[in-house]
Amino acid sequence: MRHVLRLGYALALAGSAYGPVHAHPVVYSTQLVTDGQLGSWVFSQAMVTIRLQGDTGNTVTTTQGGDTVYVNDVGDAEVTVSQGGKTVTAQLDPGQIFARYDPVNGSVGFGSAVGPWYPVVLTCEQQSAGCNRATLVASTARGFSAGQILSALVDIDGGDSPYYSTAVPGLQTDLRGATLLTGYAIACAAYNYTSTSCPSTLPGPITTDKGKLYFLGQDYAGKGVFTAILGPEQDD
Amino acid sequence: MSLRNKLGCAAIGAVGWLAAASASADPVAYTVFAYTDVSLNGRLFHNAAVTMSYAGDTANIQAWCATTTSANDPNCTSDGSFIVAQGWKLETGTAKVRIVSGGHTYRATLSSQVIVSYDHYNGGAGFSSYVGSDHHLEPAYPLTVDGSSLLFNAPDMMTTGNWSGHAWSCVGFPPGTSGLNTGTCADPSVYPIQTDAGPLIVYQPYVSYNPPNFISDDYNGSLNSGFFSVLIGSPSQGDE
Repeated sequence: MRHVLRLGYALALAGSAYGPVHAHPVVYSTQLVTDGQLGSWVFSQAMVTIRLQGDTGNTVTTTQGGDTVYVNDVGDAEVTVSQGGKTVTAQLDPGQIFARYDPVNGSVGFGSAVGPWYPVVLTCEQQSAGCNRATLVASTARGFSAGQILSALVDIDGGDSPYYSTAVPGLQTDLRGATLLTGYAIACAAYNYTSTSCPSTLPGPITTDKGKLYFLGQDYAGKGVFTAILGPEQDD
Repeated sequence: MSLRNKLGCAAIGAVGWLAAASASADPVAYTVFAYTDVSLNGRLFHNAAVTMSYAGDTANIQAWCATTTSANDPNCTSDGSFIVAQGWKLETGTAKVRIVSGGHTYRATLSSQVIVSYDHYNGGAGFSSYVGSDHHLEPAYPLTVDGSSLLFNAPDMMTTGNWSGHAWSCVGFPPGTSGLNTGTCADPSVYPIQTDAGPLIVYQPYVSYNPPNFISDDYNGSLNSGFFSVLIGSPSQGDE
């Protein structure tokens, strides 16, 4: 069932454009290892998958902070948490999360009413907001390459394509096509980079059919994967 | 044999980790997951969800060590040589692969050439294989993970947990030019992994270079990410 979801998160819509003529079913997904709580279950370093099943026709091109950002907030979402042989899949209540990709700053993941980078963001630098383009990338002949796809795409946009294999540029996306993106995974509403920890104070919950969901990822250097896969998923 | 078993350099090394296989006997399941390009029986899948799993017993875990003079020196004797890689391996068990692509799922059981290895010294773990007419070990092929949380949270092969890192499917690992290596991964089609569903080839499509075409590093050289999981006491094949 299609849910029309409009969150309280303020989007500065400027010159927004909707999907192309040929919309397509899509599943946005993120995988990472992190910490949190689902209902009464407190998990630590669990394998977590978040999925949002929707349609690329609902992808919105918008501007945030002067940068082009792609958002899709329509669809059915679920989370799967696996730790120590225990696996739980919970269906998120409508309107809880949205897929968001900021190609300018190299940041992708799922946002919510808590913020654009929570519950999960993959970034090209170990900061929720993404790369510092002025200092890290966007300059030719900077002398070194990036270590994951998100930062590589930002770097390629700045002219450093010789530093990467030819398959990498094809991963650039506007959330209307298939893609594979990797980056540092941060699953915390307000990560403290000084103490390198996630505060124990619970953020606003993400509500599911298995109870309230919180992410309290203590690690900022772990890796994560984001994919957009076109077509319906097959249950197996 | 040369330094084929080297998985990169980090300064850990403790003789205490050279203990022989675990005295206990528990079922164990290892899993590596990544999205990557694979070919099964000649059919290519682009950015498929690939899960490799291995079911075995902790009683069969063996210590291993590679030095500058020997690629297989379990006792890691320091007779003038230096440790370049050290950890554990499991060569007795059942390896399987699950490929999800285009809404379909494909499964295969891998031949005994595939093993699970963990290089504690350099922070890399996953599915290695014996390939070629000389049956040499490719430590990072068909699918392994290194660096990131695997490196800094150094587990062993007998601790349940999940870790992330750079995903590698590299014949000829380590390639990093910083280590004065070749800077390349060889064409994996030269060493297809035998399965009950036909030959399996795993590719390494997303890499970073020192231009023009030398893979830059044994960790960040792979732009792709993957996950390594250990489950002690699992009675089945994990995700399979």
